[in-house]
Amino acid sequence: MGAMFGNMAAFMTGGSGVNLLWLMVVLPVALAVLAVAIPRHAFAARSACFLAATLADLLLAIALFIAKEGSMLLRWTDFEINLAFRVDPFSGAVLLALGIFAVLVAIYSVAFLRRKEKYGQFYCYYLLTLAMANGAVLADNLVVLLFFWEGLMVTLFGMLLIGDRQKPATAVKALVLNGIADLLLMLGVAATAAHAGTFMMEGISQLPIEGLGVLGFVCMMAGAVGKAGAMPFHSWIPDAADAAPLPFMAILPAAFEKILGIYLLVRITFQFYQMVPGSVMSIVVMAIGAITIVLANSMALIQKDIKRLLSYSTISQVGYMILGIGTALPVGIIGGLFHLINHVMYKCCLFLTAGSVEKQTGSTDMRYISGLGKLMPVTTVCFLTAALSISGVPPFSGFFSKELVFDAALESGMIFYIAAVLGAFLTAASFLKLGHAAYFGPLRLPEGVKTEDVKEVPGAMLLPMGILALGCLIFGVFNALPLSVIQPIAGEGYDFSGWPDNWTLVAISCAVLLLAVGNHLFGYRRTGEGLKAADHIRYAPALRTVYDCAEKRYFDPYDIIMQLIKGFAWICYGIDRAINWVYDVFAVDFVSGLSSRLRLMNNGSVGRYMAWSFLGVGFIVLLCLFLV
Amino acid sequence: MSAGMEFVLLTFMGLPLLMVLLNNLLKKEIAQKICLSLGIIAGIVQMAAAVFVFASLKAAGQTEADFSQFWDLGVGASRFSVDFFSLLVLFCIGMVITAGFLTAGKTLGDKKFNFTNLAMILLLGMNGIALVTDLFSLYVFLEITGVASFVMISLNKEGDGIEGAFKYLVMSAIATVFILGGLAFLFMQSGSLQYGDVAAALSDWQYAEQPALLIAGFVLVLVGFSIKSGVMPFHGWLPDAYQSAPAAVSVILGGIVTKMAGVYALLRLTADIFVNVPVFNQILMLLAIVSIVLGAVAAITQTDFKRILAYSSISQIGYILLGASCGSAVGLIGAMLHFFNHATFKTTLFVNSAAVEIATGTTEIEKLGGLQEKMPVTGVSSILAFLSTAGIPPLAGFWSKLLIIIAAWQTGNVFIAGLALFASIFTAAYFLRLQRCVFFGPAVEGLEDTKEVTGGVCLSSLALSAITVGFGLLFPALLLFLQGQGLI
Amino acid sequence: MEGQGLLLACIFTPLAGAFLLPIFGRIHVGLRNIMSLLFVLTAFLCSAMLLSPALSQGPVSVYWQLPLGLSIGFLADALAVFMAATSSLVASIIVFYSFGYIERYKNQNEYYLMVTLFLGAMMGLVFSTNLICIYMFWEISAICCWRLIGFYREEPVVRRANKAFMVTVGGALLMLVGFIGIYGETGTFDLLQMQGQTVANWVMVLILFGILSKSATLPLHTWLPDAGVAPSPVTSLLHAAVLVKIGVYVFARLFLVNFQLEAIWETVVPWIAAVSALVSAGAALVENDIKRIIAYSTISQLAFILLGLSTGTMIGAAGGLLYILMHSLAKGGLFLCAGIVEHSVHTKDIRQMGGLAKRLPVTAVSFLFCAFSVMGIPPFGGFFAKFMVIDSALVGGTPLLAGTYIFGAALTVVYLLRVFVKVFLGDATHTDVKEGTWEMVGSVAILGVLSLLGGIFINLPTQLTSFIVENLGRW
Repeated sequence: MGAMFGNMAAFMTGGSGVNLLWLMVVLPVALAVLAVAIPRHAFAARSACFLAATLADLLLAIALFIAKEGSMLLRWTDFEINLAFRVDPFSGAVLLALGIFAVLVAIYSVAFLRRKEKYGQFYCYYLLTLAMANGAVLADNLVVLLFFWEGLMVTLFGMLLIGDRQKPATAVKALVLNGIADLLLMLGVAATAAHAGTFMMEGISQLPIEGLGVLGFVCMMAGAVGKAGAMPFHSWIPDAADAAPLPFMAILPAAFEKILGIYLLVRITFQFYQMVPGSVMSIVVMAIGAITIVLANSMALIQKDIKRLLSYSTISQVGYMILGIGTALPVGIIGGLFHLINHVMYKCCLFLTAGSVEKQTGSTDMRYISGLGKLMPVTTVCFLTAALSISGVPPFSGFFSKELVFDAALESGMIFYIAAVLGAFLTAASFLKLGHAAYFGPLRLPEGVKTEDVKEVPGAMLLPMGILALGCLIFGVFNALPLSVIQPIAGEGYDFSGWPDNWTLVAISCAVLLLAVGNHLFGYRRTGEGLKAADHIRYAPALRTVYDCAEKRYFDPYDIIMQLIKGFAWICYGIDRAINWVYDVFAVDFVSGLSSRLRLMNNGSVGRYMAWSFLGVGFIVLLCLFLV
Repeated sequence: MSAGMEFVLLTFMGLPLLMVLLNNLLKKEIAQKICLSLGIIAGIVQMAAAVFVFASLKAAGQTEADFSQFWDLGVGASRFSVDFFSLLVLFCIGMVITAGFLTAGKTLGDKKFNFTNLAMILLLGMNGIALVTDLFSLYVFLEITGVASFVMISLNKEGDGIEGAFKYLVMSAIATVFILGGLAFLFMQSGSLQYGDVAAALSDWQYAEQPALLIAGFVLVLVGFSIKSGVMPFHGWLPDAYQSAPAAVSVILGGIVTKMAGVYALLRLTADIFVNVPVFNQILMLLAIVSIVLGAVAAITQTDFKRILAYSSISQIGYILLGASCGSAVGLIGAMLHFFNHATFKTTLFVNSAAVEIATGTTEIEKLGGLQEKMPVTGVSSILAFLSTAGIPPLAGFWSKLLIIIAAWQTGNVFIAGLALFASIFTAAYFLRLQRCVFFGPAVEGLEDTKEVTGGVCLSSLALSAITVGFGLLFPALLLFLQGQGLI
Repeated sequence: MEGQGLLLACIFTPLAGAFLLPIFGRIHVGLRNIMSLLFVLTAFLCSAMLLSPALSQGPVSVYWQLPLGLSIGFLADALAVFMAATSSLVASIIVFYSFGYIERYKNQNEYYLMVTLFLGAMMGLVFSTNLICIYMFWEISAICCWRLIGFYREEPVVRRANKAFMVTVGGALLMLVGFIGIYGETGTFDLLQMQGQTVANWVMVLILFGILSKSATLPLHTWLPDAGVAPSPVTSLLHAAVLVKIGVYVFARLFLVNFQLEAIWETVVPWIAAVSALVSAGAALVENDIKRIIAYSTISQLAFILLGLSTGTMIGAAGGLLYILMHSLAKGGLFLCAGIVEHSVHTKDIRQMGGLAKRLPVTAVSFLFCAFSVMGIPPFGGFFAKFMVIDSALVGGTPLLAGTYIFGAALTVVYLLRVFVKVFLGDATHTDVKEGTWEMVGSVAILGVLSLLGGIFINLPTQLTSFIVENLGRW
């Protein structure tokens, strides 16, 4: 087996004269086209093609992960904008992660989408997304990176349109927010390239953040953060939860986009630019992370729909990663990346459990569903594992990565630490509420759904959930396994595996968890319903107004941006109309006014004509005297 | 000089007279029928003769040819002479006369006979202006032309026509006085009215005994001819006369008569006589630019097809004079070519206005509309003519205007050149309005069964448009020819 | 030399052939249509065939000297061939599309005459080496444009045609004054004889008037949205493929190839364009007429081309040229799609449309492809062009400018998305909607696919643009 991968690795990276890095991109695309080309009713054939594509991609990714390095270059344009791919240990690991999640969600999707319309489109976009993501990670040229990065927008748009063509607002929102982020990235790429004097990522290293570098850094960071879904580029994700097919949520916002965004953030902060701990830029990045954690978690807390809650939680978790990386401390980076891996696992798992619920009950609204634990035991166990992990309960994986981030945050500033801890509290509270409301408590189902119809989902859906849930546990207990891959990225000689060093922090974290449990019980006592366990926070005196405003979307950055743009557009339109007025009215009136004067002067009186003539003569005579 | 050439002279001066004779000797009934053919023949023969003389001159390698003495008033021998320019002008005259007669068939009714007589006298007068070489003879032919035109304008003996003719007459009378006075002053200095002699006498006019008199001479001559050509601010009579004249008459009048009586004379003056008098050119240039701009602007809001054309003429005359007033060879050639082009496209437009008048009975543009489909030939030819007027390449008008502008630029009058060029936008403006109201736009009630005017009118529109387009396309060849002649 | 024959055929086939079309039209309608397409295709094939001699053996030229510094000269260098091939390719597709679109209207003879003549004028213009020839073809195109915009002959339509004519001719006249200013300095109109000179600032201003009016850049742009009253293939031709590209092409011809641009203009021109980009993008967001929106989008995108060409950087010049190609394909496609939509629902107001994607699937997908290309989203061709152009602003050292254009690009995303969503998605408003004829649908599909392929096989066009830029001998 190892030898096979070894051979493949050599083959892929040009060891035997043929370079096949491009297969990572071309293969999924080709199979995507093939999957659509197969007739619609041949579900099995299409699905086989789809699964084969993800599996092949995973095999290739494993091969590249083993190979550790390799590169290829294809002349694309002049000016150094060439199709350059390169694998290094970091990107190899990221490719591997992408591959694994792609396979898992693919298996789930096949089962989930069975007998659904437009599943072919979903397969196609899924594979294209995979290809683009692979391309973006492999890219060794900033423009190539941008190419695949922005290309993801197309599939994103497509996937969101699968859900509901009649209500495309979410797709538009996603495309606009992502478009803005990606255009900022474009600016950042151009500025970075101008700053560095090259487009080749290999040649860009440790640029100082000054002059053009500031622009380059900030804009590229905005692009990365935007893809990861941090504030203020986040607001399409909860909406997408309503609109898109569920596997989409599991694969794109929860997995791929986080992986890509954080991957790029790490590249920017530690390869392209030289981010010093404590510098302004570092504080900016941390602030984005901290704000995202607190705000998104507070929103998650009050959601009544599983998918929406998970979406806000997704946003909040990316805050931890950004906060960790923003500290620019090795412990923070490693913590951030570790949290990324963990997050993708548990959040993927959580979305998949939500998908199972939706598949069986037709809804994810916790007001109508409750007490599914007995009907769907395996799903519930998976949910529990993932929820414990995300809440940071030891010894699940989330606990360890969060501790690392806490450590780094504390070192960078008390305020960031407080934000992180507050986030942990809110996370735990939201998941207590979610678990309690959906899986425990009295059985309740939406109207028209019979109890006997609701049973455990098929094995093909359980398998990915089970693997992911298991992963959450394994990566916690044996955290040296993932950390051994991550730590070299931050440099030589770091080892954060095993139990956290700082017991005080662990104690605080545990206390916070207990507080969350207490809070939940308090709320439950008050209202008697799991779902309303957070209501005392929701309707707390000062928070009430803020939450009301938030629910009315007053704070949605998309809406604010669109309002601003609309205002700007009206101003522009006014300018345009004013200019048009000059042509259509002013110029015409002016000239025709002048002309009418001249016309009226010619009134047919000979006397007047003679008078002009003599005036003319007089003028000419004067002129003559003057000129001669 | 070949015998053929002598014969040609007879053609230019004798043929019109012959036609008048024929017209009057024949029985009235027959004359009524064939009189227009006589005019057409005269016009075509004149064009042919012009081409023939041109070919002969070129074959002989000459640039000009003198003809026998004409009369001797003791103030220097008067004689006729042709050069390339006068041949070009003679060709134009023939062309416009032909077009006028082709138009007359449908517009004049029982006035054809009179029209023919008058038009032939007019032709004689204009040919004379083109051929003479002294100022006094010029004056004589000017008067012949003038008198014939007054009568022609009032041919219908209606109020409008008579009023128009009256205005023309009054202003012409003033012009005549000015011209005669000016000639007297010039004669005092030179003792001769031969172009060459006057020019020689003026070569160092600043040192003359009485320069003030000479200046008075320039001014009077200039003003006199300016009135005749309708340059602003001496233009008052022109729109009224053009508008009130019968259709066929306005074709001839607008196409060539005022150009011969005023503009051609001014061109001759600047080219042959006042070569060394820069002040003459400077004033002329000023008048020219004023005419170009104001003429075009004034045309924009006119409501009558022919009146628009009249103002357009004022503006175009400005271009011709601008070229002439540069005092350089390029400018003069530009002016001459624009003279020719103007004769072509303005005649086309007047013929078109006649066609519209025949078809609909009015030339008020507000009452017209949607004629493009009904009258395709008229519509298309008027578009071509107007594009040429506005100086849109590759039509003929563009090239001559370009030469004029280049000449003005080269002589240092950058601002005037730029302004003159940009004024084309006003030209475009008034013609677009005209096109929109008359040919595009919604079809007006009552004009549903308008039909294209067939026959001569249509033919002359087509032929003149062909000349405009062909001349524009072949212009590079013409430039090469002019270069071969050493003119530019 | 065969190259010369090709060059002359490329120019004069459509120019002269156009006038034969009304005659063919009297014989048989189909014959006329085919011949029209044939003439335009000939231009495309000839220019495509000129590509290899132009790239390998140096420029092909035909030249006659005339007095007064005039000349008739045609030069097929890589830039000209590139431009000719681009516009004739798109024009061919548009003519093909017209078969279906125009068949129900009157004055078809004139239509085909003008379209073919228009392309001929474009061919003449791109190959001309004399300022006067450039002006001449420029004005021929203005005449064609005037007749084509006024195709429907109604009063407001004719007024708008007149406006377009007045603005472009006014600009052109000012430009001609500028040309004569150059002539005053150099004594010639021949571009080949004034290589590498600088022009006086006031001449530059005058020439800019011409270029900006033709390329519809603020403040000379308002005729372009108004020209949306023309038939859709015409607007496509005017806005996308030919007319507006004349301005930017002449800019490239004069200031990339011939004259040295003074440093100040490398700042002023991009900023004028930047304002134009933003204002028109904003107006596009407010408008509700589908064709006006796309027209404003054209104005906005032209600013990007001008930016690329005027920053004085190599990547900008190459990007600007690439942008011309990609924008021609994509914007042509958008207008043609708008034409199909307009024919299907008999309105141009996007508020009265919705849910058309179901009924017009091919059109919807083509529209989306073209829109993505205009937005600059990979893997569509517009991406590279947009990136290179914006990069040039940074290479040129003006990050603020780059930021402004990024904002413009963001607005592009918003307004094009708005159109797509309102027209093709949402609730269906019309039930009796039919897809266009096969010629029309085929044409938009070709343009959509070309926009995609242009991005995937980006190496082909960029090799050409790089070659052009490298051979300017400027960097």
